[in-house]
Amino acid sequence: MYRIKDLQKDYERFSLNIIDCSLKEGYIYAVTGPNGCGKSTFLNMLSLIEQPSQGNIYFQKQRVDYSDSAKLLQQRRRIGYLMQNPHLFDMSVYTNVSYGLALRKIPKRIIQEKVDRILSLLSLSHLAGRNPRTLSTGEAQRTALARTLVLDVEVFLLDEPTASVDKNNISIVENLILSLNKEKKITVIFTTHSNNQAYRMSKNIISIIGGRIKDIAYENVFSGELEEEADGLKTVVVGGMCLKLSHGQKGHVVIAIDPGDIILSNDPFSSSALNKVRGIITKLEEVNGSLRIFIDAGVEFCALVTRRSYYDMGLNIGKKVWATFKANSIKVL
Amino acid sequence: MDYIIDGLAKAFKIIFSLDKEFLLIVFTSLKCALVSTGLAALVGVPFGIVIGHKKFIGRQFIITVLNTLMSLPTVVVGLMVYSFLSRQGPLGSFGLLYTLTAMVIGQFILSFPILCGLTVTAVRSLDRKVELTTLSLGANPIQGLIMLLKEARFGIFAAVIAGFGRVFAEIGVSMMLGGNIRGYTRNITTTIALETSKGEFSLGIALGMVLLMIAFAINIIFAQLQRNSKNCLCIG
Repeated sequence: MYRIKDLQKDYERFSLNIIDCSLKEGYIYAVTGPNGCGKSTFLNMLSLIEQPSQGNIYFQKQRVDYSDSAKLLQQRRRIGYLMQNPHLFDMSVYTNVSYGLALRKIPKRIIQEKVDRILSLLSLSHLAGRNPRTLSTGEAQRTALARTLVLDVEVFLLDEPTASVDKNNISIVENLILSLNKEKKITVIFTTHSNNQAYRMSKNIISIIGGRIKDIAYENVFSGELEEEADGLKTVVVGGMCLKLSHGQKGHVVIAIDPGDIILSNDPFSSSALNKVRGIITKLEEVNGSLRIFIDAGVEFCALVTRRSYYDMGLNIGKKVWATFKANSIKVL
Repeated sequence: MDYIIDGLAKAFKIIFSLDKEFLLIVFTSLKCALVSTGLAALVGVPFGIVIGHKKFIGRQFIITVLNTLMSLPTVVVGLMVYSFLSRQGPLGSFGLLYTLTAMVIGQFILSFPILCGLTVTAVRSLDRKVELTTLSLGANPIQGLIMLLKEARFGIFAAVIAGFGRVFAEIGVSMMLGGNIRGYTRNITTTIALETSKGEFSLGIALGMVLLMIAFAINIIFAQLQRNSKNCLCIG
């Protein structure tokens, strides 16, 4: 689907650098990373709307030529892109959703069928005649999503598709995206802040940190100021947790803790691990046979446990637990 | 105090009797303002769209000049056009001074910067968001521009209304270039000035009421359009 070679996009204070990246047809990719890491810039590049400062993008094995506007338009029309802050036009929800189809000169009868179907799937049928400015933020987000998902394209680029969607509708949106991928074999590349959502929807996680794709999909990513103590140990304060690190340079750092490195216990225990924090379980989720336990200790982080440990420890939402991990488990990215 | 009450009573009589001279004065004001605003819209709106949409060297300077010209004193415009149209001026041979055409020229110069400047503002406030959204949905540049104009329509209408309001209530240009000739170039504002200087308040008050009503209506429309143009929706 996509091949990216030596791509660079420069802004005043930020640049996105991707040396080599291939995205296969028919797959779902979740793009994760902290705020300002370059997720949206990455999608902007893939949408072919913005031109890279350097490097090449190959879309369906053809090099994208930004000087050939006619060909570029044809390529762009094979991509459905939901931007992070989409603008809804000052016309009815129905007209908004049908806009992309009308641009592609689809017959009116087919437009009506398609729009009616997507509005129904996203529980928006009753709002078809309304002006978007009268909608709630969640309804407006679903309208923008419907406007993208209604298109017959080869790939959907979705920048935080459920960011403003209310809890009840998140699973509807996720299931719709999954079914479009499964039934129509449409490639989906979406960004999310939620690692949980990323793992729920995709086996292919692209982790972007500081404008670069990392080999490993990092979880529990935090940022803070690294301080050096007299004994040589380094500390980073993250949302009330004072984390001890074995390495890293003074200044602003982005760190990640592997959920598999975190040991959960009902009581504190004596060990060589320097990091011990107490928090409350906020969420439990089963992914690929393991249980992901979300703990709030000032900031929310995730630990991985087996099903047996879950039963043995009697873990449940609202229970207080100790999380223990070594200084070496914290990676500076 | 009596003369004010007397003036008001006579003013209502003039309005309700649909006095011929009174109607001609109102008609002259409307005709000049509509023609000059129409011409300024024909030129100013496309210019405003280009300046608001396209990025080029000197764009910010042009916008600054337009913003400055929005508050151009009417007597300065009158003086400037007068110097060109008077017998000794470069366009004196056309004999346009003290005609409706001269008034329209002056009013055009007054309303053009308002129409153009406010159109620039309307287009610029939406430009990037609408452009990116239309591109993301597969629009070509022309389709994108059409949508941009649709989205900016309230702002553009507001610009036209503001331009009309400005020329309809001005007096400097009408007096200096029209000459306040009875039955020909005499309009609402020049009549009010003349009648007041003569101590005849009734016609002045009647015309003043018409001017106020029209100005009030224009401001209501303008405020509503501005509210609509600001209400564009962007998620997040």
